[in-house]
Amino acid sequence: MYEVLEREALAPGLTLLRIRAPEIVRKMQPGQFVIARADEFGERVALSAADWDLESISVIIQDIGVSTRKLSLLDKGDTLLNLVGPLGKPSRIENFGTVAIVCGCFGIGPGYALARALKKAGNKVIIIIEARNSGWLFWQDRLFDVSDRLIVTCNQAGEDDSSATSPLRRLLETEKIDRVYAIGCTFMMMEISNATAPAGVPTRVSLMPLMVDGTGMCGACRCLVEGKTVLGCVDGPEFDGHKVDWGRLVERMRSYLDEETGAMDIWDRENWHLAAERKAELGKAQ
Amino acid sequence: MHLRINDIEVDAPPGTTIKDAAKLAGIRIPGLCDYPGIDHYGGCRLCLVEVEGMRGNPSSCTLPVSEGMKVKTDTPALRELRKNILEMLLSEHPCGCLFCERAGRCDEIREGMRKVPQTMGCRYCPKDQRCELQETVRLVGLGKIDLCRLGSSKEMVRSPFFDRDPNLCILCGRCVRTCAERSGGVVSFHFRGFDAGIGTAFEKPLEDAGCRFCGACVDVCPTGALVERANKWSGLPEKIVETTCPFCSCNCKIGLEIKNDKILRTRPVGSKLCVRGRFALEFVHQQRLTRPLIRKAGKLVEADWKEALALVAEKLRSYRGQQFAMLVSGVLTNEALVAAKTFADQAMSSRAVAEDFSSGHKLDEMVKGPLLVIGDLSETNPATELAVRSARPVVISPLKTLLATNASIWLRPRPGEEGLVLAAIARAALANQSSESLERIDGYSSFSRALDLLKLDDIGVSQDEISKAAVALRKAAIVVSPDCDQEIKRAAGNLALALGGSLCLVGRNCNSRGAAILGLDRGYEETMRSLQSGETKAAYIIGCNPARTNARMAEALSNLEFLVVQDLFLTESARNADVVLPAASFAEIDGTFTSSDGRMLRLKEAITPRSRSDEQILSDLYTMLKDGPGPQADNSQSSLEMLRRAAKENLEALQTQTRIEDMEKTVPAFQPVNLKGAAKDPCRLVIGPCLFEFGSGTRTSRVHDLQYLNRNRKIEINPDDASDLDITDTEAISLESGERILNGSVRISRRVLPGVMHICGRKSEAVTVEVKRDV
Repeated sequence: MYEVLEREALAPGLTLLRIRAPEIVRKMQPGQFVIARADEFGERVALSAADWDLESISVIIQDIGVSTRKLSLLDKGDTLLNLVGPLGKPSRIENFGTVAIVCGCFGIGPGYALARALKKAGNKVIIIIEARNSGWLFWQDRLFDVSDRLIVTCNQAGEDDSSATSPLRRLLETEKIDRVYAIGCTFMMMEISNATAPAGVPTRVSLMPLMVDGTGMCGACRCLVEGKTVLGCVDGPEFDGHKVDWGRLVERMRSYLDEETGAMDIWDRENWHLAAERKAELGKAQ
Repeated sequence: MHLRINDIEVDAPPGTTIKDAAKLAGIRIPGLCDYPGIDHYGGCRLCLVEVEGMRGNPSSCTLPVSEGMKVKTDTPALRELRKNILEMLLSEHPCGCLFCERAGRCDEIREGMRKVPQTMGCRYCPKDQRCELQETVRLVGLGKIDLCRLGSSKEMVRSPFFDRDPNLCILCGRCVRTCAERSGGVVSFHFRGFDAGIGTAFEKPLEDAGCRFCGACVDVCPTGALVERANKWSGLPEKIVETTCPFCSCNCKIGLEIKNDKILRTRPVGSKLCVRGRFALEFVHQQRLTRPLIRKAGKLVEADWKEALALVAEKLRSYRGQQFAMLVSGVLTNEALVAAKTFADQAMSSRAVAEDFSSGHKLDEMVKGPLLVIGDLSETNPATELAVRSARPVVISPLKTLLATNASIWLRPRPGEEGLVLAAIARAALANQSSESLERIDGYSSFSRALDLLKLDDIGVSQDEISKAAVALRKAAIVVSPDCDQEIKRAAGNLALALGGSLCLVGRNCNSRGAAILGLDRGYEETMRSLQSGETKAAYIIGCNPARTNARMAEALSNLEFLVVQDLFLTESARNADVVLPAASFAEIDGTFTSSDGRMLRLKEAITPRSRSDEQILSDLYTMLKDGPGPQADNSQSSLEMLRRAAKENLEALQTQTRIEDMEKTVPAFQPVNLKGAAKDPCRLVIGPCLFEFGSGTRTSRVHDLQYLNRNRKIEINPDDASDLDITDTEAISLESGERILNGSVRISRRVLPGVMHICGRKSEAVTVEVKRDV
């Protein structure tokens, strides 16, 4: 069950896993996600679907804590403890006209799935990707195939085009954009929403609150949108970026920062050699 | 030398660099590759200055001062130059945060532990706020970078205790130069151009390249390239408490970085630490006992102090003298040792004993004269070995250690014949001098006769080398490492007398000297015999773990009628106990150790005690035994008073013991020694001490990365032997010696000669073995 079919290290700390899950992909739609657990002691980690085919789903894992570290150490042939999906409300796909999809780092994955569907629906698709470092830009060829225009930005200290905000602003001035999507880290999505607010362009963001069950029971993923409490797992994860209470969201996401740091410290101290040992094992087998 | 720097007149000794001279004048010149105590390099070019009459801009960290020199360190041109150089350095270093418009404000909006797993800027770097590069940017006043940024995604190199992030390395070379001094250079620059980096030969993992994890490279790294893994993301400490390392008798001064009542890291304080003092102090936070345990219905269960102490007092009342044994060790403070001694003497009519012994000696003075070193000092006392190495001593060692390669004369006997070499040198020394002064010393005549009878022609060391050594070692100090056996120690003592020199018996533990001054080694053998014969019925063990090191002792302990064990953890010995008392660690108490040169070294409480101190527990028990249980008014006071007075007297005696014992005390007479020739068998195994396991291994076994380093016991085999026996590197083999079987994995090494192998073990010895492959 849930065997890893393929593993690709996209960049240090950014891993692509393709996992066998035929039942899950049967109904998968862009904007949705799965929840994965590496082992008995791993946390439930919500991962947006980046790509899928008839038998497998591809997800991109950014290593930011113990559980994501465990997932990114899995290799071809390993199995996940469990995988559940598709979860969340799918993105509304129709012909809006011209859409701009802004993706940051790991957001390139779900951004690709969204762009593919929107292009198929007849939209003019403009994709802007941003990353902290050129090594973190990936799948540019794939994005090229599902877009009409691809703008690549990368962090260069002091320069204007160090993030997607500036190219997006220029785009809004020169073209009529009917809808903007932002997928990536919370801060980036907030910045993009703020950038599109004056022009009043509808903006959809994919939030990543802390999440546990993913099916609407536990309430861990509560967000405040337009003054109302909504659940990220069943009402979202996609919301209107102009209506999200970003401060509240970030405050909630930071709830367990100390515990996460402590857990990472303990786990890393005892397991740092796993990756090297796995490499050595593979080396010996070959 | 007199010179002028920036209109300030400066006087500096010849040989001082301009940069250091400027420091004397209170002028700070930036620099990232320079570091006190290691060779000057002039690599980073940030310290460039203007010298009147000199063309160009020399680096101030490499140019020594000259008389009448006129230096300018802070002209507009120099400032511009420094900014450009720093900009180039930063173009290859992830520094987004340094020049970000949101610098300092992103903490409130950072939603996760680390936004990205790779360090992209200061806020995602474990060295944030502790980084010299950040400091230099401020110092130089760099506001932005115009250069194109070269991103890189090199993989981190993970090793025991610390990680190397090559993306953050600025190639200052500090780690290379420091390592060259400490371990002979395990890392160096490799590759060239944009690929240049720091690495080991053939990119072997550090542990296979000879790294001993002393952490000196981590200490000197100016950026986050080398960071220790423990508490990596915990940032700056709240306070730093200076105390003394609790492991060996090097007594290194350490600074404990404390945050949230926890030891974050250790840093050296003018000392050169080894892996134990630098990284292994995390044992303080591992698996600690915090509540007393009492055996009820065959199982150890938690109890409160009142119940536990009352039970111990009640039970111990029925034992006296030889029926009772008190085992302590040199890891305890003077205060605890005194309390134990008083307790055993006065409450139990018995005595406290410890295996520890250390002679009194002044290392600083010893290294000024001729020295002979015997035993693998680098594994038992690394800081001492480092101090001795530069004095280029005469070394007796079958292994090719770093000390041996730096020796002025290296005598390489067959394993097991070290004692014979000592005797040979004594014989050569006596042949060249009149024995008049020596004849007065007890035992001389039997010693001289025994020497005459010894056959010393076939010991693997030539007569010529022996004679050279005898001449070089006149009035020498002989340094014997703690793992050497009694025969070697006696032979060394005889040699010291013959040479007119002194004997330095290095202690094993941090307070071996304190234990020795208190005379705790007297009666140790006798107590061990009583325990094993069954004559002893009850025992109280503090700070040692005999059940772990010795199967016979484990059995003897389990046969006792009543056993109390007082320690930090539930040790193997504690598992046999009737009562287990948890004790506070070295970081949780104030106290003193005595160094081998007679100084009182302070321990300072750095974190809240997890339990009561040994001293406290012993005084409480003493009071209960003397005065009975239940509330006391006057009696308890007087017993406690008595104990305190005894403690004070003993400590005063320790403090006045500042004069070093002369030879008459340490080696009163020539001693008979049982020296046999070693078997000329084709396969001799040297079992020696291990840096990664200390003493019984109770504390070091609770440090994860030390266990990792010990996971495959390495058997060093000469490449010629390996090819003859057709065994390959890392192959698992067994060595059989009589009934004993030692398993390990092969490490092909030139540290051993053909016919000799080496493995780490608890007891140092040389045995004949046969190699068996796993079939």
